[in-house]
Amino acid sequence: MPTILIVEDNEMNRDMLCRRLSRKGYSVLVAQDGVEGMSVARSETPDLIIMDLSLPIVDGWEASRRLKADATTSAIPIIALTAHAMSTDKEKALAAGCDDFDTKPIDFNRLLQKIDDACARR
Amino acid sequence: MSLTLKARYALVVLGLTLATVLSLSAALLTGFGVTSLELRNSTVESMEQALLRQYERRATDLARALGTSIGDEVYLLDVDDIQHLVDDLSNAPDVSAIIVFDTQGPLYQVGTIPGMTAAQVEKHFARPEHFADHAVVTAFLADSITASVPIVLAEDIIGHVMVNMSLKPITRQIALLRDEQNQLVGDSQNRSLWTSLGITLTFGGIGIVLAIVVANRLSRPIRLLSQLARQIGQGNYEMPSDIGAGAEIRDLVESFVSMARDLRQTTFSKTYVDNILHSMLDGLLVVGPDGSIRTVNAACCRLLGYTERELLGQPVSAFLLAPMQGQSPATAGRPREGTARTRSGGWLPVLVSSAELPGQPGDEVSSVWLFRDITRLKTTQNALITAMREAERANRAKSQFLANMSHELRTPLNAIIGYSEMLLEEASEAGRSDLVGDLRRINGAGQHLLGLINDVLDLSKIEAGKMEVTPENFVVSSVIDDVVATIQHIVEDRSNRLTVDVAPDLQPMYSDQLKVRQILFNILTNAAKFTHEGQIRFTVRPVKEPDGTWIEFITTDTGIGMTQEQIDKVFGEFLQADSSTTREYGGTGLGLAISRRMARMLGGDISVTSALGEGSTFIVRLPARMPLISDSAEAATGMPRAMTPSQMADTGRVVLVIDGDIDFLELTAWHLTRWGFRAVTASRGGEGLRLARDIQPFAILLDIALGDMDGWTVLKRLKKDPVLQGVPVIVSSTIDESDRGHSFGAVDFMVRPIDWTRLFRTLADQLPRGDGQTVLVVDQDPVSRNSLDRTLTTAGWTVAGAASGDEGLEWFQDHTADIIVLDLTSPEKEGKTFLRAFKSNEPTAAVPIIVVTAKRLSNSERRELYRLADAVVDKEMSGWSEMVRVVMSSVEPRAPERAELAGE
Repeated sequence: MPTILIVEDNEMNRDMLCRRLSRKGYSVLVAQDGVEGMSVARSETPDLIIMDLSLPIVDGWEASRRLKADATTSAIPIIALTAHAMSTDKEKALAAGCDDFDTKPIDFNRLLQKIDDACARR
Repeated sequence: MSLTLKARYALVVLGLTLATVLSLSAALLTGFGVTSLELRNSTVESMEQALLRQYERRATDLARALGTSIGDEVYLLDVDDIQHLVDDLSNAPDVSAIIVFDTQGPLYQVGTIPGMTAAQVEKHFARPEHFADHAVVTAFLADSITASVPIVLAEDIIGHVMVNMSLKPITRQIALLRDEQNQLVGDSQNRSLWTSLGITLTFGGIGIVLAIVVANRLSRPIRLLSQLARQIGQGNYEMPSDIGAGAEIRDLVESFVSMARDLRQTTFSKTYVDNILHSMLDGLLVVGPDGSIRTVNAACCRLLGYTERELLGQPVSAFLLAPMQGQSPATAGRPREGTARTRSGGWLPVLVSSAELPGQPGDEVSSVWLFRDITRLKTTQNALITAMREAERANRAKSQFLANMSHELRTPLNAIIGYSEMLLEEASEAGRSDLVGDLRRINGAGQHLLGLINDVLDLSKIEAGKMEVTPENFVVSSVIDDVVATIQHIVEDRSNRLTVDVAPDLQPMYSDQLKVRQILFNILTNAAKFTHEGQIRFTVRPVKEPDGTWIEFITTDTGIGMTQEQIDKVFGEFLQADSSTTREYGGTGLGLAISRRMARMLGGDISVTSALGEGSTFIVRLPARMPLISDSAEAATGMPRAMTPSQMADTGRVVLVIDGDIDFLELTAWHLTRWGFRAVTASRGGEGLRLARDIQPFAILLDIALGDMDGWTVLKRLKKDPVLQGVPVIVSSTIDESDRGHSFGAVDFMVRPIDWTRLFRTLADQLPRGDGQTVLVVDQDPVSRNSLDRTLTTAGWTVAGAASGDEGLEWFQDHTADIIVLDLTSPEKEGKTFLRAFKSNEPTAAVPIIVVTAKRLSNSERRELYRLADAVVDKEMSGWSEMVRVVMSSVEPRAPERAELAGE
């Protein structure tokens, strides 16, 4: 099963998503902010990254941009997550290089579908 | 001497008459006097002569008679006879003396010759020559006449007789005559004097009367005129019909009257205008070409607190400040705000309008100023501005609050929903069916809360005008299938039967698919919720109207229905038909309000018919092709479009984006603005072409999939337009047709999704090129130096870098640059020191310097920087792309760019 990196600063959301994805059989890595997310992504090269956009230190847009600019991580699909349902968030996420986008609260089945799609495209 | 004209006329006429009469009288009198004197003299003389001749004759006759009679006696010397004869004769009247002479001397003498002694007589008369002739000699001696007659005897003169007669009687007679004559002359002279005097007086009297009459007649029209003038002065303009004077005077009076009429008109209109000016509530000034006040009205004096006398001649600028700045010729006549200085030293906010006063050609121009006290207006305006700012702040706070709330609420909700779902799965797998129900309730409550939050967010977005509409082409039936599938379980839960009837000839819709979906979902959910064990009929059909095709979605149920009162409130916010329904049927009560607003945003509407207990019919009516975003967005939110194209074209380089995808337009505009461009957007080809002609953009970004015409047509038209064919066009499309794009003259073709970096490079390529000119970037931060380096290099510049000012100065010792970019992130003082160093250093003094600063500059700091640098770019405000733009524009013809920068 693919390895998924969850970059999320909210402890509950991170824990819940981690547990639910683990239950579905994914190997899950976690990071609490943009900088940690980038470093884990570089060292572990997961198969997929779920990136919250409102992150401390370096935000999700910037982290995504840098990961996509880095040859070692540019191929990893990124699904952006945001609680802001504004379409500019989505466009900005896509502009930063994210492959897909979902809004919180997470519709778990929809997210699983997006994960499947992203892994399949790879 | 001030005499009335009449008196003068009278005096002149009188004087003339008197002078004439007097001179005539004087001449008459003088002539008369002279004549009468001459007459008198000649009369007296001739009478005197006659008397004298009479006496002379008598004396001669006497002497002759005596001489004849006494010749013998003398010869004989008979003295006695002589004596006798002489004595007889001497008794004759008036004879005073008789002397008889012989040749030897006197023989006899009677009487004496008055005034003469005997010796004198002898000497005088007894001379021989007296005897030589026979003539009678007469001589007049004092008051006497003497006749001497020779005594002839035999033709010999033997002596002579001398008779002396006293002339005293004649003298007396003559004196009497003279007196008589004088008496006569004096009488006539007196008479003529009196006559003259009488005549003079008569003529004088006549003259006076004549003078008065003439003067009266002459001065009458003048008096009339003066009376008229007085009358006009008192404001009475009535003219007498009868003037009664000679033609000339009549002419004069007539022209005077017509002049007076003109004057009346003028005076009337002047009074009228004066009344207007002085009853005006606005202050009025007439300002001469020298800027001094020429005329003021009452309101002006009142507003300024000065008297008219104090204001006149003073420079208007001392009282009224109304800057003309920003006034173009087109707006010159418009009122502008200014301030008036009052006597008390206060400043009054005024609205000033001024206009040139038409004068004689060649005159310098005066102007009329009108000003109005707008204190109250200003107070209100300030209050309004404050209120508006408050409202804006409150609105921003509200939006911020809502955004935060949605985020803050969603985060824990995320956990509630997520964990409950997870536990549900775990509980089901573990066979803990006792927990499943509770967990489902937790999950359901969470979902409901989420729905509420979403609805509130939607509504606030609509209210803030932030709800975006993304129209696209879609097949209606597939949307209906989705919605019906989604609500199927609610329909079944309530034991309802749903029949769907979709017209087979439905064309694809161009609208916001998500919103259509949301509206239909909402309406159908409601129908299902409020109907129990009933029928729900859902019909979709096209309706052809003159203004296009509409699609009607009709939902009819056999549910609880509504009263008219409920129908009236059903689209209100937080108002379900009855508040009790919320408890019974759930929901937020916002669904219909949101649905109707969304329907209106899409150019349509929702209507309802219902009867209590008999069910309801909701008709959603939407245009098959949604109207232009600009119209509908404005209609739904009441927000005007932010800027007119001409306003945008004023500053920066304008990139026109023509794209059918509204989200893309917004995103592109965001990027373009970040890069320092100005974005003008159009969602349709026709609109795009029109805007292109209006603003003549720097570049055009063109989508192929446009609503009204395809992008290729737009491109062809652009390339045929003589004005626009030079404007670079970048084409974007989901399908790669780059060959076609290039063949049609596009500078680049981009396959979506857009590579923004590439777009920027392409746009940057269109900017005026550096043509290998050198730029020196002085920046401590290698990262930002590199990014600038890359961009400028792409744009054709040769870039050199320096990490400090000292390094930069050093670099200049054996290099040269066309422009210097200096980052002032370094401590302020240091940066300015470098600036001064650059400007005082020989090789760098003439090189333009662009200062980049991340520091918020105060106005004074900015001013100081502008003294030293050629341009100042605020990193935070403008972004690095603005800096690129400035760098690039700094080597263009400099004057206009400098002006633009200074204005920023």
